[in-house]
Amino acid sequence: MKPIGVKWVSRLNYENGEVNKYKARLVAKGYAQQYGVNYTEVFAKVTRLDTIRSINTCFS
Amino acid sequence: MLKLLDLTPFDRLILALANTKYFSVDVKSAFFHGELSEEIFVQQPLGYEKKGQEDKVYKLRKALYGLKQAPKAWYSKTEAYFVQTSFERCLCEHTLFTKWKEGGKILTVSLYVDDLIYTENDKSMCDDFKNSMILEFDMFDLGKMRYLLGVEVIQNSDGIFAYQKKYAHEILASFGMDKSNSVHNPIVPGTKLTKDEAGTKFDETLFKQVVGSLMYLTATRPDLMYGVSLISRFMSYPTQSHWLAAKRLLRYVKGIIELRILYKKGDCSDWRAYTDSDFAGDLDDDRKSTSGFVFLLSSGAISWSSKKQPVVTLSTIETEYIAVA
Repeated sequence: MKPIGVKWVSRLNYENGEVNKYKARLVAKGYAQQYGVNYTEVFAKVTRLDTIRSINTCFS
Repeated sequence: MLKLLDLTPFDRLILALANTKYFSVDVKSAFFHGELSEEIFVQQPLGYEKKGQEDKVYKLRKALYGLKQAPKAWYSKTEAYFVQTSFERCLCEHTLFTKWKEGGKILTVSLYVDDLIYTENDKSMCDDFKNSMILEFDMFDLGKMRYLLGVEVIQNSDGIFAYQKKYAHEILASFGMDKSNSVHNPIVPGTKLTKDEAGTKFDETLFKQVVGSLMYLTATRPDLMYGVSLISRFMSYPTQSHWLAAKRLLRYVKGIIELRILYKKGDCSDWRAYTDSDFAGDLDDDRKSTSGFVFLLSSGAISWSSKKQPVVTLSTIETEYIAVA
């Protein structure tokens, strides 16, 4: 199995037009993954907006 | 569509009405919490290589951003947490969790990847939840909900308003329509747009940007739904007439920028649904019908759609039947 490459992604966070934070995050190069080798299921559920709107009414 | 309707736990939610507020929390670096079930090796990060062992690799125990299974790993982790802390998962909406306690106390949590909104009718339950979540995950408490997925939210004594005023201003400005005159309807009544592959092609990229921007605006604007889904059919070969329709939608947005949907407090008994369809409205291209629906809950629209039907129908009855299905 091949190791997956990683890289640093850096981003500036501004506050009132000035640099506030220097952010960095290590990310994996997911495009190098192969189905069945190092990933199988990828589906993750998210909420439908309809549901959010319904509970907004019901509980407000 | 709204399968919540025939669900008993949801009925109970409706019955358990209370004067509640919505709160939101954001999980910091959410995907890092996800635990992996697959074996994944990664290279050593640049600048942090172990001296003398540069050829070795790391085996991951938790997910990294960018991995294909990162969202799923995160969802499994949170779901496990909710189940373990005796939340009940909604049968039809797997990201909606409720917890009941004696005396009608209830806590409801809705999960959108790393955005959580929750509401309760008991302060102590809410604090317990928040503290336990902060212990379990690194969380950022945003307090009373003001934004949800880029939609602005106002909560006051009448209920909840949801709107995208800031976003609407942004798209008008970015397409140079912020100084245009507003119009009173999103589309000229009776407009028939057709494919025109012999005509001069309009800037396809710009057209697609307008459609995409308006599409996001339909998250709080049911009145744009028909117009947006109409123009979106011509994205592959837009011409001047399609562009004029798109611009009219933007001018309509200009006029309704201050309007917003109110989800009125406390009344959940009044459900209404409306649906209608035309018959072979797309006369020149494929003779398919377009149908739409809207669901109202105590006067606030909660679910809507406008779509060209997938099949050709032979009668108006058949069209309406498909619309209802």
